[in-house]
Amino acid sequence: MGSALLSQKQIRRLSSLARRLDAHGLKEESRTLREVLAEIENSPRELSASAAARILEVTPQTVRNWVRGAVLPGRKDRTGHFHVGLDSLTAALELRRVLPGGRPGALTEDEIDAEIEGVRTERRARAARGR
Amino acid sequence: MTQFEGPFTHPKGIVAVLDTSVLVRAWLSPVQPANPSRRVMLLAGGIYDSVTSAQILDEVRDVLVRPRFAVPPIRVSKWMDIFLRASRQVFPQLIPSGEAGAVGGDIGDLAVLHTAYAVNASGEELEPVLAAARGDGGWFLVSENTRDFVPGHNVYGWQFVTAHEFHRILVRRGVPPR
Repeated sequence: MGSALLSQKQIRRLSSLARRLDAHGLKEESRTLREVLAEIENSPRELSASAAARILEVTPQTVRNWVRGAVLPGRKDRTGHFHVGLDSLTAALELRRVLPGGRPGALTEDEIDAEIEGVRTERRARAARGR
Repeated sequence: MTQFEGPFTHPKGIVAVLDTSVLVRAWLSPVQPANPSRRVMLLAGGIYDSVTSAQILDEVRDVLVRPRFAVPPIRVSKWMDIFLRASRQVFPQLIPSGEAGAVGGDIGDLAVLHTAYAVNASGEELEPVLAAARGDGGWFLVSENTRDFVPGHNVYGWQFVTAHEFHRILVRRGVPPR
């Protein structure tokens, strides 16, 4: 499952790396990397409901409801297990990669609102000066 | 069940504009426990049609780079690029001024209102998305600023909700009727 979480962009970067290894005469390393990439590209482009739920930060039951209700592209297999298309999870995966994950309780709601208000006050003042 | 499709291949039946107050909180949220702002932001483009604008994103960036948060601009830009790819973009600066300001009070100049108005004025481009949402889940302006955007109220057809309530609405989608 972990291999299926590589984005197309990452696959392209690894393919480029394989070419560079080749160019440097590292044939064995390049071949191994290409084989792994081929396995990834040929693997099913879908995840289980549980894995999708972890990415979307909801419960597996919610994912099953969404697939059943055609809210989220996916399918139910013959054994009753639900699967979600990896393409529909790409955005959430990429967003999770860049989000830092702050400390719980590090900031109060009022502190956040005060900073937002600060930006708006500065913008209004700039706009007033520009008139 | 549906076939696998890209983020914009069909309308999701629910449209939302996330306010600066939500996006800033999404960035600042812990991973565990995640706040509702992070949760709804992660579902943009997947479970609902997210619409945003440079006005909103500029404001978010200006907040996060302030000394209080001191987020490197490049990190914010990277996040915004990804969020933008998951969203549809409108251009409020191209809309004649005045209409959004007609809301009045202190909130007439808020980026999220201009963005919501620009969606309504976008013409054919977003009409299928809006039409699908009109007949299904609705249009939402998601804000944690409940003083200016009182939950349950609406403007230009956009219903005001908090991130928590919007997440609840999303989770309920697809729940079979009892």
